[in-house]
Amino acid sequence: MIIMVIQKIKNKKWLNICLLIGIILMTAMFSCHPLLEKGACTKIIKKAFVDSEQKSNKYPMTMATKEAIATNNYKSVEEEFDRIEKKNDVLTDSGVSIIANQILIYYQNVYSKTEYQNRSTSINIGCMNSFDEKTYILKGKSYDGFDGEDIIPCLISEKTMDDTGLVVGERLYVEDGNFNNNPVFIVAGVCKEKSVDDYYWDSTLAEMDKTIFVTSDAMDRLSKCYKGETVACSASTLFNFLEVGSHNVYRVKRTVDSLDKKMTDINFEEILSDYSNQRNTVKLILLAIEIPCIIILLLFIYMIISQLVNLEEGEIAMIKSRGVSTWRILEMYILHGGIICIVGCTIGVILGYWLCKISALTDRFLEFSNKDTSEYTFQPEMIVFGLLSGVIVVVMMTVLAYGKRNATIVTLKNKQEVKIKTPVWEKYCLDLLLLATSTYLLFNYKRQSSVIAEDIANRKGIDPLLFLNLSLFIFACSLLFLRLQKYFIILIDKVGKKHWNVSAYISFIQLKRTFNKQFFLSVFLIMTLACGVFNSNLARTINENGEERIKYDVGCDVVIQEKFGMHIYNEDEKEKYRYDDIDCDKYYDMESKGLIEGYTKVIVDNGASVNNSIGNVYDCKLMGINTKEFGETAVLKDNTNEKHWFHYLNRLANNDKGVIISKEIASKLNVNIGDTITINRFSEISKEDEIIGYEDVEVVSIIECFPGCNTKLFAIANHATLVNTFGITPYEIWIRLNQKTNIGELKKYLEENHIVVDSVNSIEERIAENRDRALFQITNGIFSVSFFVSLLVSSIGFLLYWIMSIKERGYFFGVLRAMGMKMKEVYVILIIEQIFSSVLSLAAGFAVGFIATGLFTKLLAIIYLPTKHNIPVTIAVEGKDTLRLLLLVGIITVICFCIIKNIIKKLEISKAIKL
Amino acid sequence: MGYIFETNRINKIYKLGDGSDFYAIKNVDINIEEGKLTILKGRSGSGKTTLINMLGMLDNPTSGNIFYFGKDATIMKEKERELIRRYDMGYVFQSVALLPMMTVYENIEIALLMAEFKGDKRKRIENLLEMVGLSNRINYMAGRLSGGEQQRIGIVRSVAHRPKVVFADEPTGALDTISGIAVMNLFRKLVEEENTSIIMTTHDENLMELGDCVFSVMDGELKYEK
Repeated sequence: MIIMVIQKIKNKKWLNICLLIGIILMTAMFSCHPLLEKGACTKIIKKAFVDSEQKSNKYPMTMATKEAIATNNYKSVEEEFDRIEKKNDVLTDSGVSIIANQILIYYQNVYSKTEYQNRSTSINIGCMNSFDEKTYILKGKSYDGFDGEDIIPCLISEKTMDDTGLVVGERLYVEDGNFNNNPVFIVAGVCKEKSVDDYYWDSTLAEMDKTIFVTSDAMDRLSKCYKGETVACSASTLFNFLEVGSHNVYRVKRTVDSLDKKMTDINFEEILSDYSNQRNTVKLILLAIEIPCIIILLLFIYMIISQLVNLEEGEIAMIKSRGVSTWRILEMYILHGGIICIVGCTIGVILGYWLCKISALTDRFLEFSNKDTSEYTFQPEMIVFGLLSGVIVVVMMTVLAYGKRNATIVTLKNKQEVKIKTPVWEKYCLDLLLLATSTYLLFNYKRQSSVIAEDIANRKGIDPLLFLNLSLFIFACSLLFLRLQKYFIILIDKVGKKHWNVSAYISFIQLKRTFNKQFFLSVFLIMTLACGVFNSNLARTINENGEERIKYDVGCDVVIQEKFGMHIYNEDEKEKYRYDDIDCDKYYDMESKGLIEGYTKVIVDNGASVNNSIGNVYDCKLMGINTKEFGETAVLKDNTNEKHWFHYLNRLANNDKGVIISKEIASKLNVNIGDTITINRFSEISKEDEIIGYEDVEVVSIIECFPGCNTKLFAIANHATLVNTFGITPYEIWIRLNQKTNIGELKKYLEENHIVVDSVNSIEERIAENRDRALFQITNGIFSVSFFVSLLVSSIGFLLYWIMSIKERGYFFGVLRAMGMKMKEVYVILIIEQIFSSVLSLAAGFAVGFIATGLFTKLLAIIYLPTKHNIPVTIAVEGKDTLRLLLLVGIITVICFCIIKNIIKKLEISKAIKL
Repeated sequence: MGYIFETNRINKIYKLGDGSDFYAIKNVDINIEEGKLTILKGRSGSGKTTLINMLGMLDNPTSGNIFYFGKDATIMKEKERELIRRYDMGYVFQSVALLPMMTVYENIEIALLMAEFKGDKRKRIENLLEMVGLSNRINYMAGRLSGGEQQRIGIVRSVAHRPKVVFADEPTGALDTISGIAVMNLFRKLVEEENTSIIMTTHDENLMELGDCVFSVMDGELKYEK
């Protein structure tokens, strides 16, 4: 049977090659799914750790444990260190190693007296693992010089020295009831961390307040005279977060969930729980973007298989007439499908791997750059997905072959009669029903868009129907177009029939009679183009709006935050504070050197409140600006407010006690322009909401958006007014870079000139970071790859349809040529057919794509741009995207037409008509 | 009455796989008179189809000349040959040569459109269909007709635009005896009523008596018989 099947494959090698291409592409699309999903998820989790580190300025994967070791169980410090190290190594099984372990075993709150000042103090006597390796002696000497003496040498930190007043060489007398013999300590030296950047120093010496450090031997000696019931122990275990990826994150989570949280503080629990939601989003987005492409591929494979099976119907009938059972015929097709699938799936999995790598290189739709794609590594699931696609194809082939089980020579003969049937979808108006369903769902979703946005912002799941509805809409539109296309052709034919020349006459008859045959091709073309147009527009909208939001959030090219020195003092029995102003000459120097074009001071207080007689609005963003400098430095997109934002700056400039407020504040306080409101600021050191000052200001403008205001509650006042009222408070330096300068050069300048700043927030860096975001990357990547795949499949489908159609019609053209039809007239027939089938379908594809863009983009953009912004999402459609698509489609159409022309040219009349 | 076709030692040579020459037509000289039913008879593979293809300007001889109304067809440009085929000639093919996606009417109308027929097309088609006894099939899809019916429609299509000459390659080959005789009678009727010249091939000895001139073709060589 194998030989027969191989012969069968050879006989229809072109169709089988097309089927193989279809299987390869489908396997590739299927198998790159797990690769992309896992790669993106790994990227997401790692980014979450990095973000957390930047935000908290702490290592992001730390497990802090506290325990009280019962004195009875206590053996020695070293043994305890070993025990705790082993106990805290909880993630080894998950493949996550420990990069640092800081363990402190100590006697807590030991009452003692200092030698020189005779000061009573409560201290901790402790011993840390690897202490000698990680510290150096700043003053005095180490423990060694005191060997043999009765008094116990200890080391202290600078902070302990400051707090207790202890000095090197001073003795410390323990007078604590928990100790026999009242041990005496001597401060051998003051120590300091060798490098605070060392992961070991999760808690710095300064944070281990009032702790004196002794050797492990001393600790063990002390344990012998200790009468207390427990010894305290605190440990920080730092895990290597770079080893956490999609492959082990759930194991890590399970382990973390199983830990006793009373004694364990884990700083990455939120990252882990957040990850589940993000993973679901990635899964869903990937699936949703891939679905249209997979539908196209399935249609393609179905088309090829049905062509194959139809062509082989005669053979099936013949074999059946010789008494071969249906099962044997099915076995033959299973074998046929199996052979093609084995080859196709093998190549497909490899192609899927590369498709995934290419996807990861995208910056935007159909734009690629050199990026690190190491997160996207081969996944065993790829083979499973590849096999799944193979099974689908074999099942499809078997089912279609099963449909021909009753084929006999007689039924075949009857089939040759031409019957023009109305397709089921057209007969039962399936197109209109699907379109109505899709439109209903769309408007329903649009009505709930604010709820959806909130759900996404709160990291709740996304309704998969949101995406599926888009595919449904495009498919329904494709069907509707086919219906309209048919009516249009009939109408044109009716109107022009009397004037048709022979080519037009034949073309229109052909078009009307073979309409159903073109169904698959038309659906391919429309869906491919529509998805291409929509994807490119959605990708551009997401990218551009994302970048607009970054620009809006940052407000200008670069925002620098310096550290302001704070002095706390007591006044009227109250703890007060004041800030030192920073030196701004360095920015002036940068400006004069041409590195930057300008800068301005901007007070930013995210915790201010505004109130009037009607109410109080808390957690407002208060900004203090110098209007002229601010206008020259900050950036805001046009048309975000009713008038250009300079108009509002001018109003503020004209009123020292003026304030610009957001529409939300205006509506909450029911204020209008000219009304007075009060601005309040709160103490930064008081734990209660203590107001440090207030200022009555007049509302000069009510607006929607203002640079840097990524909240709906904001108020902008004059810088000078805020300084007069609240004194010097920390402010940001907003910088407009010289057009020739980039952020790298600015950072280099800061480094070279030893200018230390707290943070640098730059539009350029944030945009680059955004382009590297896993969600954006896979969206742009899959959009681009699926577009290429769809285009390739459509081109093959297009060529296949026309080649089959011409080969089928070779006789038809031969007859016409024999009757004296000119070659030119044959081409005209084909051109008219192409115009009214393929070109119209392509045009419809573009039209459907743009309609879908208009209807769905804003809704789907919510998923990618979920932040609660005032800045609205604007649909970004660029002519060059459409032009690029047109060019690609145009080139492919021309190539296809040239191939078709060549086939027709080669037709020998006498052979074609077998005279 | 003059000759439509005169040939001068025409040969059609095909290269065989071993490099040798195969003469499908060998030194044929034939003169065909206008307004006659000319029959080329011979067994399968004798070369009659090759000869009719060359006379019908669907193929060119390897050597020799074919004169169509005194003009050398072998040196004509393809465009000129196309025009002659279109306006002066009609073809009836051995296999069913109707376009199955079209109705009987549309199949015939194509020929009229190509030849830019000036008269009332519908009337002409109806008259011809009546002549072949198929006026009730005018709106049938060609694919739904029986073999004999299709062949008759093919003949109608070939003569509809009033060509000077009609070529018919084994027009009765796929038909039963009765249908074959009906087709031959139709040819005779066309020759007599429409003064059309018909050149046909056949291997059926029973049909020879219906021809005005009969030539036999054997191994590429031609012999005048009647």
